[in-house]
Amino acid sequence: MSLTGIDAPAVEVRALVRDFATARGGPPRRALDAFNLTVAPGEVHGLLGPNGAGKTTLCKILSTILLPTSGTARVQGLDVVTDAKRVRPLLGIVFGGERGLYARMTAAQNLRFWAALYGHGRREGRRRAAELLERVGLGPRANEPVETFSRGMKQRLHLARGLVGDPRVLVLDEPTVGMDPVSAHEFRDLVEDLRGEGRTVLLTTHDMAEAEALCDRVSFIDGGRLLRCEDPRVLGELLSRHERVRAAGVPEALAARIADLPGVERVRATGPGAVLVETDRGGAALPVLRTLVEAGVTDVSTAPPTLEEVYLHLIGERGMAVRP
Amino acid sequence: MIAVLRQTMWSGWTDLRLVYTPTTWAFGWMVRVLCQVVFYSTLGTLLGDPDRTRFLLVGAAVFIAANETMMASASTTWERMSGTLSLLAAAPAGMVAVLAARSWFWIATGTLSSSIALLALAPFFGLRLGFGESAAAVALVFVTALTNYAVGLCCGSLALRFHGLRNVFANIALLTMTAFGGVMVPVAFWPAGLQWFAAAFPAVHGLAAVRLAIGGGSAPAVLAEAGFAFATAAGWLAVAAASLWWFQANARRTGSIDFGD
Amino acid sequence: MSAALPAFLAAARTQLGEFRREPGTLLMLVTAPFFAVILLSVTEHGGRADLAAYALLAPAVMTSVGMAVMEAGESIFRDRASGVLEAIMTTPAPLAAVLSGRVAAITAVSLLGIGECWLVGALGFGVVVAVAHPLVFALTLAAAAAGIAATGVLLAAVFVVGRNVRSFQNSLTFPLYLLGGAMVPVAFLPWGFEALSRLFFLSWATDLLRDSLSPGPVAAFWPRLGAVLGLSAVLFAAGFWLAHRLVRRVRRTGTAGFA
Repeated sequence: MSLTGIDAPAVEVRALVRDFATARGGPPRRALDAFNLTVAPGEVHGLLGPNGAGKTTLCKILSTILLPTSGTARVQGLDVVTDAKRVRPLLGIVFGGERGLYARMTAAQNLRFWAALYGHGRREGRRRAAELLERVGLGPRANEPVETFSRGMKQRLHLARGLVGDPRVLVLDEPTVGMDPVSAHEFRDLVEDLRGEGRTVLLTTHDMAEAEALCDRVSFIDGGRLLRCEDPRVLGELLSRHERVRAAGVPEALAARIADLPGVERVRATGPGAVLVETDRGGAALPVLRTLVEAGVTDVSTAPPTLEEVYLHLIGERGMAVRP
Repeated sequence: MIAVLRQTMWSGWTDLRLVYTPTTWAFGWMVRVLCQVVFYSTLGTLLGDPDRTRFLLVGAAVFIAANETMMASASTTWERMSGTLSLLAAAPAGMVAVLAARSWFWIATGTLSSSIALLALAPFFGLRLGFGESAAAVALVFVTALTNYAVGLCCGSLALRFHGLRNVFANIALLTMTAFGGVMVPVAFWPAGLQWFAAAFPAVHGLAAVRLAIGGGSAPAVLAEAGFAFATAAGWLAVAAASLWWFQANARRTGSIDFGD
Repeated sequence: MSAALPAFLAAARTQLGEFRREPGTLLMLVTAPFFAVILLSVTEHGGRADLAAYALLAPAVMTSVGMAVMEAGESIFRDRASGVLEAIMTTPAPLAAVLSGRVAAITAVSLLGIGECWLVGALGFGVVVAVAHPLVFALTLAAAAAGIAATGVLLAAVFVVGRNVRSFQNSLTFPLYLLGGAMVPVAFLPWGFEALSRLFFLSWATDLLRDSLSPGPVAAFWPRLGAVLGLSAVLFAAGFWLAHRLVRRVRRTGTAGFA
């Protein structure tokens, strides 16, 4: 009768609520509010949201270290509350930041310790530690204390730690925070490998480009609620459609001319002569750039929209508010 | 400078409130103090010798004052951790004064716990103290705490320099005094070299003064021991100042004046 | 496959590594010889060579108990501050297994104090204490070590579960030495204290250890060893129960001092 197996979703969250008590008996703070999510086996699923959206709370509940206030969460068909013991061996968790490692021990010692906590004997632990350190590119630093590592290196070690139990489902909470661009790129390759191995990955991030590049589907979360669950192409489309152009030394007349260009949503003054041009159509940035350059403005740059702006557009299209 | 000292004494007081609440002091620390003194006093019971029991009781109780003032060593390193030490770029003598002002509360609590242990446990172990003797004992316990505080500061200044061993210096110094300083057995039990060594510690003289005062010793003899306590304490203060100077010079050279651990 | 045994062993290895990296954690082993000097000087000065065994056994027992109380509490606090405790809770390994592994390593290392104290007697005072009943000594020592480890597990859990309890950590040592009869047999304690101390495994263990060092026969060895083991088992059970409760509370409130 167990639902464990190939056919069960890798992660299934239904009407999940988590309240946190606030200081001095105030009303509880709701971190997750009737949250729903289904992740298919082998899927790389992105959980995109600003800080405080409830991403980490969801990760903690899935990794059995936090109980939900109500609702259910299942991993491979196993309930994280009633079946926590059977869930743990299936899961690998990588929390962001530098916590959860013994700073004075070497990278290899750390991984051997964690391998043992997943039930592996000494020899198997050594083998796995060596293999994983190579895999995350820390092989040459294996025998150096973690406290001498850069933030990005610690982050990679965390990832190795998450893989040490050979999990079917990997929860990555902001795994690229603090990584340099080269490491972040290597990290993407690693996630591709994990997908190739048939592992399910739940990845939280506030980096939209990362979510677009890595994920099969992306869930947008804010205020503890799921806003939408989309194909990442929708995200990519939003990113290009709402591209922005920043320029300095723009006379008012020129700014007015740009505002009339097709696809320009609005032109905001951000300082004396400085403007921010927001577009709402793919390719609309190009004529803006051309116009600016032809008018002799050279201090010009383009940028993708911020997460907040994408959220506004997403919600605007649906016509619902982020927070009631 | 006075303002700095007042500020430092205040910060010391807030530290004390972090270390103890009235509850943890009464039911934690005082229980330990009483158990420690009983632990040593019952040795006399085991040996079946009432005189020895009283000797052990006085030694163990008075040395609570030494024990507690040695904690100045640990609290001096809190200054390092809070980073405020780097603000005291003044001369080493100024630094000694500030560190001394910071941990003053150990003198007060040390005198208090030591006196309570001595006076409360005396009746249970057959030690009769009159009012005058009790008052003299408390005064001399204060002298012991005050003068031993210099040793605590000295250990603290070393602990600043060798942070990894911060708890070792004070412990070793205290146990050395306890072993050879006439606390459990008379100083005369030990070889002459160790006797000279023990005489370098103020608390050893403070304890000797207490023993004389409650054992019918003459006033000049008591005052002489108290005088030795102050004289040796001055020596320890000088060592503390030298050690701080060394610490400061080293910190300037290596650029670790920020002391952030 | 259960993760308990590998986790226990890995935690023990981690703790041994910690001793090596931070020698300050071995403070108790540095102070042990001083306590041996202090206590042995009292019995020697009193002309009681027959009590030398007491004076050398006591500091060894005190070192072991002291390290369990101080270091076990420290290690779990460090794990909590570094986020390791939280990460442990995501693994299949029971927290109690990890705690026990650490405390077992602490207790094993603390037994070095026996050798130190014996050397102080032999080299410092020319007093050599022979073990009259080696088997009794060895079995009792093993049982006592288990009890001391159980004390460490229980206290480590208490320090984390209870608020402000940690201020008492430093205050626990001498009450435990006294109630455990580390130096003076609890039979010398007044009225109710002896009865109370009989609930503590250590009072049975120290009596047996002293008996094993003296030439006379050891009375009622097995029942007394049974008392040591039984009372230690109760402490273990309490420690595991509390560790379990700790995990449940962290999961419920999400606030065990984590990020």
